[in-house]
Parts: sequence; C-alpha cells; structure tokens
Amino acid sequence: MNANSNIVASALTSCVGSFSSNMAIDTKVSAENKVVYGFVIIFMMSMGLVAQASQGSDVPEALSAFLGNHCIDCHDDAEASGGLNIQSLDWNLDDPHITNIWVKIHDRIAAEEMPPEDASSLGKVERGVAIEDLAGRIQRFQEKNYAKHGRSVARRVNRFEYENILRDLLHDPTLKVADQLPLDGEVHGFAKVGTALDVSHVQVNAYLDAAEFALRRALEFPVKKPQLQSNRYYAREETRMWAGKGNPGWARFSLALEGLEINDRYSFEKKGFDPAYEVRAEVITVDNTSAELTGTWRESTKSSNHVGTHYLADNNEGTGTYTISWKAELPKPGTYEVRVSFIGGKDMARKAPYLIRHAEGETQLTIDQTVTPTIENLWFPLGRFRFGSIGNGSNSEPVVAEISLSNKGANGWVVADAVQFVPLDNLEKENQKAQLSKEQASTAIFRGAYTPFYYGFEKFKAPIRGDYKVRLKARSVLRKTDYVEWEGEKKPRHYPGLVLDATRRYPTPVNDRIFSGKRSEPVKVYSSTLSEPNNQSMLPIGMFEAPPDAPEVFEMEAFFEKGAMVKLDCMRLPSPMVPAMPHTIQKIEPEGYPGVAFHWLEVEGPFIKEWPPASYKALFGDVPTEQSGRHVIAVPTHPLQEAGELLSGFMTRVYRRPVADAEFERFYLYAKQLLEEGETFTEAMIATYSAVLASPEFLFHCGEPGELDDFAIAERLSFFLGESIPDESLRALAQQGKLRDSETLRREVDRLLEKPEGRRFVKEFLDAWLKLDEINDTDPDRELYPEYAGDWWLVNSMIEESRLYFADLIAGDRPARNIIDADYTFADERLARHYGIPGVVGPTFRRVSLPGNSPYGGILTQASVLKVTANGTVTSPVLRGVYVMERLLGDPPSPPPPSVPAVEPDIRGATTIRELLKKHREDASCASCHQKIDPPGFALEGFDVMGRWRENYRSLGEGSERIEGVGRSGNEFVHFIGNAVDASGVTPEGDPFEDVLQFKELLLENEEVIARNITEQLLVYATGAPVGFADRDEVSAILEKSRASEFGMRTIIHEIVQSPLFLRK
Amino acid sequence: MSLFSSTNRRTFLRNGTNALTLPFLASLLPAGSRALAEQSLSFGAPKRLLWMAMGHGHMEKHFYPTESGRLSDIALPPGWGPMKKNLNQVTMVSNFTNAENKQPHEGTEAVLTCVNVVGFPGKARHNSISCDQVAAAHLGQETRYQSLQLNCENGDSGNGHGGVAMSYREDGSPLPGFASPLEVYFKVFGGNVSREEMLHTLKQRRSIFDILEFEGSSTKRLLTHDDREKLEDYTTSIRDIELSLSREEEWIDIPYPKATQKRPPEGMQGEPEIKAMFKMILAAWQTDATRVVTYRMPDAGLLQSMEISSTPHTLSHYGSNVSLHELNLKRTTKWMQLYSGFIDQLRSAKDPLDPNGGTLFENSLVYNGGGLRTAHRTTNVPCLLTGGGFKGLTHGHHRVASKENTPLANLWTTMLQDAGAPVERFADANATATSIWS
Repeated sequence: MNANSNIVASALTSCVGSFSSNMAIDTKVSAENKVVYGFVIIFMMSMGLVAQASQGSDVPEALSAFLGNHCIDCHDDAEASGGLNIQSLDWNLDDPHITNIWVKIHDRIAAEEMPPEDASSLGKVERGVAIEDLAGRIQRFQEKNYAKHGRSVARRVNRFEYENILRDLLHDPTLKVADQLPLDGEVHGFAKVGTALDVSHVQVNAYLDAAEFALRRALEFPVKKPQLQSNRYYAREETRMWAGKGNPGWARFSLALEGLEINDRYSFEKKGFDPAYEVRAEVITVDNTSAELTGTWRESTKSSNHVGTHYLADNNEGTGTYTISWKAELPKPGTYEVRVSFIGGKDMARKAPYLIRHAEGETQLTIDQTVTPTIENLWFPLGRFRFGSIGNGSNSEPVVAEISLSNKGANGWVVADAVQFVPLDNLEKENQKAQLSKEQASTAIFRGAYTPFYYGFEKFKAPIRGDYKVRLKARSVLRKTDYVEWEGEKKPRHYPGLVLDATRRYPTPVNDRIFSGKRSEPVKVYSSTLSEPNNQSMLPIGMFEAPPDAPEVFEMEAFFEKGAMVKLDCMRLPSPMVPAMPHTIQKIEPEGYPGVAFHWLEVEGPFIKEWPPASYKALFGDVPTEQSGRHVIAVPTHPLQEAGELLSGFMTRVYRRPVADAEFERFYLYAKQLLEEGETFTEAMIATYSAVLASPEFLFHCGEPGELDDFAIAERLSFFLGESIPDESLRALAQQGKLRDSETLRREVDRLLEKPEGRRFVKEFLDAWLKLDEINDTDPDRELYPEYAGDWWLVNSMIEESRLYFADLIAGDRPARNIIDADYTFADERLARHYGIPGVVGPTFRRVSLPGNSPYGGILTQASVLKVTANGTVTSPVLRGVYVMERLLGDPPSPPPPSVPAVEPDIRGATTIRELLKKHREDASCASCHQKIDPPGFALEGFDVMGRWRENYRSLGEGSERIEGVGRSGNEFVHFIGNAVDASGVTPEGDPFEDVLQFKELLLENEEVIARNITEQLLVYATGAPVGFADRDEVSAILEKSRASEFGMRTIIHEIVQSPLFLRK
Repeated sequence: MSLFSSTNRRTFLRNGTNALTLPFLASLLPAGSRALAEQSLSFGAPKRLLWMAMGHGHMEKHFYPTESGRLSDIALPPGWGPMKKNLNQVTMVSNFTNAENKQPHEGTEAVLTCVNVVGFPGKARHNSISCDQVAAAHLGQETRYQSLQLNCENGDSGNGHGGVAMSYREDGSPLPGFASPLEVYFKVFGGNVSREEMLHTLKQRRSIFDILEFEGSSTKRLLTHDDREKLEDYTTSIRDIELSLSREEEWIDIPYPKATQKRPPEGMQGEPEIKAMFKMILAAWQTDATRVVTYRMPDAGLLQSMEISSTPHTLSHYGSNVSLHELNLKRTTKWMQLYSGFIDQLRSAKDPLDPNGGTLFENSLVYNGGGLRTAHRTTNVPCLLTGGGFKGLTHGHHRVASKENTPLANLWTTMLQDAGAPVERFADANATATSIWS
C-alpha cells in the first residue's frame, strides 16, 4: 500500500509537469500519462472510493471509475440531469447515436463545463488524463472503422441530385421530377449522408416512374423543325388578362382598360381614355372670391390644398346665418359632376349642409368635411347632376348653376373654398372620338401577383419547349379613386361600415381617372403553364422597370415549357387577398393607385440550335425519327446493333466510371429480349434506360475504403459543387488518371465553381445549411405584420441576398468571419426598404455598403435567417439560439429533456420572453444548456419575425400606442406598440453585451470557431459523412492551411477537396 | 417467369364455390370476392380496422374533457359541439403515450410502429412494422389488397406527420399509399386501365425488376459491410415490389366490383377531399377490397379549405394568441364534425359480409387520433375510438387509463387481438387496453 501511494505521488508530479508544458500547444498527452491514469484509478479503487459507475457492462473500467466519481451523482438513472443518463449508457461505439453522446461527454469535460465547479473537485490533472483516455478510445475505434469501411457509407443520390442528373443528361433544364420522389432523410440537415438515405420499394418505384417521365419528354417534339416566328399580342385583344382562380369580381379592381371598345366582362362601364385628353375637358371652377357671402367668414391659408388665394372658414358660430353661394355660368346644358373643395381634417364640420339646384329640382347633401377630399386631395365629388332644360339636346344656350352651403348645424369648422363643374356629356362624346390605336391602347394591372391572383397574356402559349425572346411594351400609370355607382347589386358584405359619399355611392378606383405614373414600377416577368400552381419564382424570365411617361419596350430572353404563358407580377404593388377593396385601397395609396399599363407582348422563337433536339440525341444519337402522334419515335436500321451502341454510351455516361462487360450485358440482354418480344425500338430503349436509371450502380456512389480512385473523386467533386454527375472534362481527367494531382484538383474546383451549375451548389447548400428551404413554412401574422403578408418580393429577395452573399464569399475568397458580420451586403429596393438602407431603387440586386452602426451585414443577421428561425407570429430566443449554436457556431445543444414544456412568447405583451426564460433557467437542468442557447437568441431579439429591426415588440393585447390600417394583403389590422426590446445578455464566458452589434464583436474574437463550423458543415455536405471525433485533426489541418487567407471561403473549399477526408472514402 | 405461376388463388376460388351460399351477400360484391367472403363468413362477419391520424394534435382546452365518465353527463370541451348526436358511439381515452416517439414535430411517423425512429443503430432514421401491417398479414389474405393507405399530398406540407407514411413494412420501408380520392377509387373500382394495359404494365415492370434483382454485378462495387447492408435494402425493395406485383397478377382476372359511387374529381383539397376519402373507406370495406385501412389526414389542406392561412404548426404554437385559439377551435370543431359525419355513415352502411345483416359500424374498430398532443407534446395523445368491434367496450364514456403514459401499443395490441390477429404484445406494450374499459 505504502509503496503504491509513493509511486502514484511521484507519477502525479511528473504528470503535472508534462501537462503544463503540453496543454498550450496540444491536447494530446504522452503515452506515459495514460499509465499514470491507470495507477490513479487502481489506487482509488483499492481505497474503495469508486462507485459502481455504469450498468453498461462494457464501459472500460478506468473510465467507469472516473465517471462514477465525477458524473454519476447527477447523471444517473434517477436524475439523468440535462437528459443525460451515464449510468445506463452503453459503451457501444458501433452505434453512432451512442458515440455522439460519448463525444459530447468528452467535449463538455474538456471544455471544463462539466462537472460543474460546485459539484465536483476534479483536478486539472485528472481531467486531462480522463479526456485523453476517452479521446484515445473513441479515436482508435473510429480509425479502425474507417480503415475497414471508410468514413462514409455508400449513399444513393438524393432527389435533387436525381433531378439534376436527368436535366444534365437530357439537356432539359426545367425538368421537374424531385417532387415525384419521396423526401430524403437528413443528417445535420443535409440529404447527403448514406445512413439517412434509405432505399425502399417506394424509392425504386418512384425512380422508375420519374425516369420514364423524363425520358418520354425527350420525344415530345415534331419531326419537322419548327419555324422561327415573331408574333405580337396586343393587350386589348386578349379576352382577359387575369388567370386567377379566385373571385373574378375582385379582378375588376386589378385591371383597367384604356382606349378601344371593351369586351371584358370584368371591366367598368365607363371606358378609360387617353390621359392627354384630360386637358381638353372644359372644367368650370368658381372660387370663394367669386361667390356670394352672408356672415363674416374668416379668411385662411393655413392649409395649402385650396383653390385661389385663400379659403373661408367658420367655427360654427352661427346656426345658419353664414352662407355662401357659388354661381357658375355653364357653356351648355348637360350632366356635370359637381365637386367641392374643403381642406379636410379632424376639426372640420361633420355635417356641412350643401344645396344643389339642378334641372330636376334641389338636392340637399350633408357632407363630412373631416375626410380628405378624394381627388388630388383637393376635390370631393358631390355627385352628377343635370343642369339646363331637360330633353332639349340641341339647346346650347349657357345655363346658370348654383351650389350653396351654410353653417347650420355643421358641428365643426365649416370650410368654403371652391366649386367645380366637370362636363360629362362632352367627355364621353369626345372620348368616343378619341379611339386609340391598338398600339396606343393598353390594359393596366394594379396589384402584385399572389396566389390565386395572377395576370398575364393568355393568347400566347409556347408551341414547344425551348428558347425564345420576349418583348413587352409598358409604362407606369396612376389611377385615382372616385365616387361612382357601385356596379354590384349589394354593398360589399365584408365592410358594412363602408363610407358612402353624398349620393350614397362608393369610393372606387375608376378607369377614367388614369394619369401618368409618378415613378417607374418594377415588373417581374415569369412563365408557367395555365394548369400549374402559380409561383412567381417558378420560371423567372426577367425584370424591368416600366417608366412613368412614354411607354418603352423591354426585351428578355426566356426559356419556355411547352404551353407556358407569360405572366406578370407588378412586384411593388399591394396584393389584396380580401374582396371589397375600394376603401381599403384608399387607405393603402391615398395619392392614387399605381399600376402598370401593358400595351403588347411580342414573342420571337423558338430559337433552335439543333434538330432533332439535344435531348433526343442524348438518347437516340443519329437514329432517324418518325412522327407518332404528338411525339416522335426512333426508327433504326439495325435495331439490335444500334441498341447496343446507344446503351453503351448511355451507361458510360451515367455510371461515372468504366462499365463492366457483365453490367452492360445485363441491360443489353434486356433490351434484346424486349425487341425480340416485339416491343418497338423506342419502347424497348425507354424501358432499358429506365432500368439503368433505377439500378444500384447508378443510384449509389462508387468508392471503396481507402484512397478514392479517380472516378470516385470525379464523382464526389461533381456532386459537391455541381449536384450532379461529372461533366465531360471531369470524366476525361478521371479517365486519364489525373485527378489525384493537387493542381488539377484546384483547377477543377475553380472551374466547377464558375460554371452556371455552381449556383446549384450555393442554392442546395444554403437550403440545407441555413434551412432556407423552410422560409415559406410559416406566414407572418397579418394582424401583427401587415406589411409582409402576401409579399413575394420580400421573401424572394431575402433568399436572393443570402445566395448572392454566399456566392460572393466564395468568389472573393472572403474570410469566414463575414458569416457573422460585414460592412456590406447585397440588396434590391425591397430588401433595402426592409433594412432601412436609403437610395436603392428598382429590383436589381447590387452590393451596398452598410454604415458601422447597422445591425445588418453577415449571414447571422440576414432577414432570411431571421425569418426561418421565427415562426409567423413570434420570435423565440430559444429557437434562434439553438439555430445559431448548431448552424453558425458548430456547437449544437442537446435537445430539451422530454418533460419540460416549451417556452412560448406571450403576444398579449404582458410578460416578456426574458422573464419567462429567466424562470426557465432557474431550473438547474435547464440552466446548463440555456446559458449557451439564450445569449445569441437575446441578441437577435432586435429583429422581428421577418428580420426587420425593432425597438419595441408589437402586441395584440397591450401597448402604448394603437396602430391600425390596411395591410398589403388588403386586410384591416390593429396592433399595439408593446414592450421595448431588450437585446442584451451575457455570454457563457461572462462577457456582457448590450445588443447584436456588441454580440457580433464578441463572436468575432474567435474567428476560428466560425471557420471550423463552416468547414465542418461543408465537409458533411461534400463527403456524405458527419465529421467524426477522429476527423478533428484533419479539420484542424484544413484550418491551418486556410489561416493565411484569414480563413477565406474559397481557400477552405480548396483545402477540403485536397484533404484526405475528401480523397478517402 | 409466367405471370400466374405462384398463385394458389384459383384453389381458393374453387373452394369458395363449394362453400355454403349465403343469400344475404349484397350484389355489389363481385363474384370472386363473394366466393371468398362466403368462405370466411362461416366464422361470422370479418372485422374491419381503421387508423386515422393528424400530425399536430388539438388544443387542450378544446378537445380534452377534464373529467371522466359518461360523455353525456360530463362537461365537454367546446370542440365537441358537432359530436352531440354521436356521443354514445365514441369512446375518448386519456393517458395513452407513445413513449418511443422522441420527435415532437412528427406525429404520425411512429404512431403505429411505436419505435424511436432515430434510435436504430447505424441508421440515421429508420422504422419498424406498424400495427396495421401486422393486422394486414392476418386479415388481408382474402382481399384484393392486404391493406390500403390513404395519405395527404406529397411530402408533409406542414401537417406535422413526419416521414412519408403512417404504415411501415416489417423492414421499416414506408407505405405512403394514395394521396387523392380518385387514386383510391381506381384501386377499389378499377376502370382507369384496361386489363390488357394492366397486363402489359405488369409484365414490363416484372421484367425490369427481374433484371434489377440480378445479383453479383453490384457486389463488386459495394464491398464493405455497411455498404452491403445498403445493397440488401435495395434487393429487399425489389422483392417487395415483386410481391405486390404478384398479388396484382393474382387478382387481374377477378373483376372489380361495380362502382357504387361517382368518380371523385381530380385536385380535391381539404374538407371535400376528406369527405371523399371517408366515402372511399366505406366503399373499400363494402366491396371487400380490403379490411385494413390507415389514413394520414390532411390537416394543412383542411385549414386551407377553411380559408385559414396559418399552418398546423403555427396553430400548435398558440401561446396566448387569442386569435390562434379561435382558429384552433374552428379546426377542432371541423374535425369533430367530419368525424361525426363519418360515424353516421358507418352506422348506416350495411355490411355485405355480415351474416346477421349488421352495419360496418358494428364490425369495425376505428382509431382517430395521432402521435402528438398540443404544442408538440408526445404524452397523453388524442385517442377517440368508435365501432362495435372492440370487445367488451361500451362507447359513450371518457375513460382515463389508470396509469399516466400507458403505452399506446397496449391499445394496438387490443385492436389486433379483437380483430382476430393472434398477437401477444405489439411493440412496447406491457398489457392490453381492455383493463381500461372492463
């Protein structure tokens, strides 16, 4: 006993020594120390200090003893603190789920987070020895495993890769089959890992169906090459310009027609007319200075929206003793619209009594002068009246008309300014004369496209899939509201409180009040077939800005599916989703309702590079075609021989490596059998190709344990940066055996990143890494966030920013720290408005500099990220915190223990999320994780559910200020300005921060953490295997090699590809 | 390979004609099925099984009664409004938990399998046989389909179901089934393809799978143990498909029953879709196309058809948002209304296989619920039972299992046993559920 303790004591001394010298450089400890560890344990066991650590009989004894001393107190069967039960944890490293737990145990002990200071007296030495021991065991186990099986399990292609392969193979860039394939399993959010990519009968059946579908598309063309055509489709010759499934009645507020006879059943009764014509209208205006007065009215110029030098006002001092009478000499009898001007405002008369003397007698009207006059903020229409003798059309003697107003019972300031008479007979007559040519005439759209409302030219349907040129002539316009007869029988049922004008008519945007726009309007042009669900992002053609004055022609290149239409989204305009919009429209756009007038669409095409099309040639080479219904069939001269040749070429292409004779024979014999049974050549080949595209050799990635061969490298590289099978150049290099050459690999990586297919990588990687594919999973609450509901532009721009930004990080080899912060970003008008960046107009994205105090810049605070981490109604610091830890910092927290209820923000605004979380953290088992999760979540509280900066929460129940209005989807909303946002917190290291700016600074103190995370995320994506414990040294090596570039993103990608992790299975 | 080599179907048929002819068989049964049915009916009417589930559950205060007892006596939550007339036909059970479900966003993936889908060694995510497939193996021998799976649209589209299916084969592969009433209609009544087309398709598929199953070529490339496992999965898939092709071939000469209802239109969504699916379940049972059905219900679609723009997920995070509470209540009420309507139909549908002239209601065991309670909780999941097939169960009560977190598999065991499947314990069951009501 004595001898033993002596040895231990001296060994401990040497151990401490070696630790202090080694610790700073590396966590690896010498073999000598492991022996020491053993002694320590033996010593303690002999003293009877070691508790029974684990029921998992296989946990190595030394480890078991350590855990028993320091961990089991809390992590036992009874308590399982933090959801971790070490007592029952098996030592079964074959199971990756269990290995992950052991790795986590290692990391927590190594980071000195566990055991907690107050619960254990674990010394530095013992800690070091223990983690060294645990690390060694996991490392050795995994390395042994890698040698035998490779890091990655053979994986099949995922559904997006399958789609891309068919697209590339068949030269069919818009083919859609991913939706027909079952969802793929994911590891760390990536559908790239073999263990999660199951194969089942469902999959195999779906592959066969998808392959056959795609192959048949390659035959859908006429034998005879279609002629290049150019056709113009005039807007006014379209039967209709809307293609929505919704209530057609709504469409009337969305379209206006200009010039020509109107044959659209959803148009207004009154025809639109040439804006220039308005000047010709002989409007008669009588100002208060020419009117007859009684009483002492006050003269005022306080408000500017009046006619002449001043206006008159009276604060209801008399009861009918003040009067004013406007008399006008009208040039001839007829119907005139009578308009009055009266400033408007909350102190004005609620009941101003007007009297109109007209041909049919007298009309008394009580007008609410508190409203803002509807026409140009100046004129309010009293109604349309006939003046002069009735039924005498030829009489053209001048007539005197009289309008009067008094202060009787007016209840507020009565304003008397001017009266206007607009001759309507004249206008309508002149209008008929002013027929516009088809060229000048147009149809205008006054809303954004949003399911189920979409707009477009329906007379054009693409005759065949292919390339076209599209030209559109358009200009921006402004349509003002007016009080007109409601055309429907009833008042709109959704708005019983709708304000009526004096003659009980409805404020409605009207087509005879169309003016030149005040600004240019961005238009997104896209295409889809009539039957497809509508989605603006489906097949974008291009964008342009319709100018406010003279119309201009815009040309764009387009790829159309057969039968596709050209659809239009006036992206800046509201997209009302509720019916009966007239008064809501007024609230949205009091100045008048902006729209875009389209004159015509011209389509030129199809532009054909080769015939038969490339997709046919990919399958049937030069075999002649014959028409068979709507598609062609292949008619070979020597079917069997040609089947063999075609099949051989096809298999070499899709198998990504030389095809073994036996593999070829198997499918060749199948084709042969089909031909012999009497199948046509075309059908036999489709069946055979489908079988190839469902065969395991095609579906599974190749590669054997150990170093990958050139073909496997080509495959891995191509699926990493192009999401598809290797292209010609990669195949050639693999064939020549050049891909293990470092410089060649470097060139290929650069080449693949620059190819258009490199965009697929950016899209798919971000969709998975940042979960951007979930961005539409929740809708912002319309009551709380009325400005976002129904705004495709915003959502699309949010995603676009992230893609452009990430692509630029790679293109410019920018440092990984830019994931957290940067002084620039990419924005278009909509996103700039969202971020409060001035001076960005139009739908084109550009690089914009951000001021130093901007919370934006860096992926961490991009709107897309802030949106996917919130649900539609509230933000949750917990969800955002977990996301940041897991996706951006590479330290995924454990899932919450099962019994703990989720913390739900209180949107009545009574309790803050901070108070709720504080209560939550008082529970010790919650605290250990939440001290890491909550800080990033708190810092991001400065952003609402769509990522807009906020000083206060919005609340539905309580708050300092009531906000009401009409949202961009036409809904009326009420919410309140609630509690102030507190975005401060303290990091687990104890550093306080006030807001997200300071939080970012703290994160940037350790750039390597950020670089390591993105490296690991990319590694999972590139190699199809999670980054294991045994891979950590290689990851560190990649980081070291990238350090000189400040962890440049392109450098990291290069170093990943050069790494053994990538070049070995 | 001959198309009809492996069948003993014809033997079956011959025996069938010898069996006693039962005059009560409704004429809508096709001759073949009638014969089969007659044979089995010497043992009484067959049991029909149905499991229906939504992903995210109902909001507590709208759905869970606070007291136990006769439903007509206790205070019922507001969502139960439409159930008034059928209170005596249903049983509500509280305290069932699927302890193996560790996925708070995925309510249906493991509800019938009672396994931890992320707990399989070496698999990121996997599953095991679902109880309906256990039932199908025993009750599905004589019908055109061993079982039918009804589903919502492709993917999960925010329903909170998880996975792609509710039913899983023994090897854990999913059975997603049919996402539209029209597809089910064709399965039950045929009529979309001619016998010749069908034969041709079957033959072509069969020959494709013959060559895909060809072994040896792939083993060269997929050498390691894990990789071989993947290849075995692949081979199993091919065998699975071949098995189902065999069954289709066996039945190809047995005519489909005459359609008893109009062909449902394409593109149905939400409420009309659900109603049409309910009708198809009845049709499948009445024509004995199958006796075992699962329905992965389209909660998100229902909300859309109710013009509610929030997703089921958003609704499950109602917090203190009163407007979300209202929407939750609207939805629960709608589901209860649909459910009550389905019970009406079950009760009025004659069972052509019942020698005593009973209804489908009397011969069925129907579970309506799902794997998640409100706000992503996996305990005390919704459980409504109806149908007369539960032995010793008198409907009309809210029954509370005496132990909290009673395994849901106990209920599955009971349903399997009551339907005649000789199953001792299903999955993690530790008893049967009968003690809850007897």
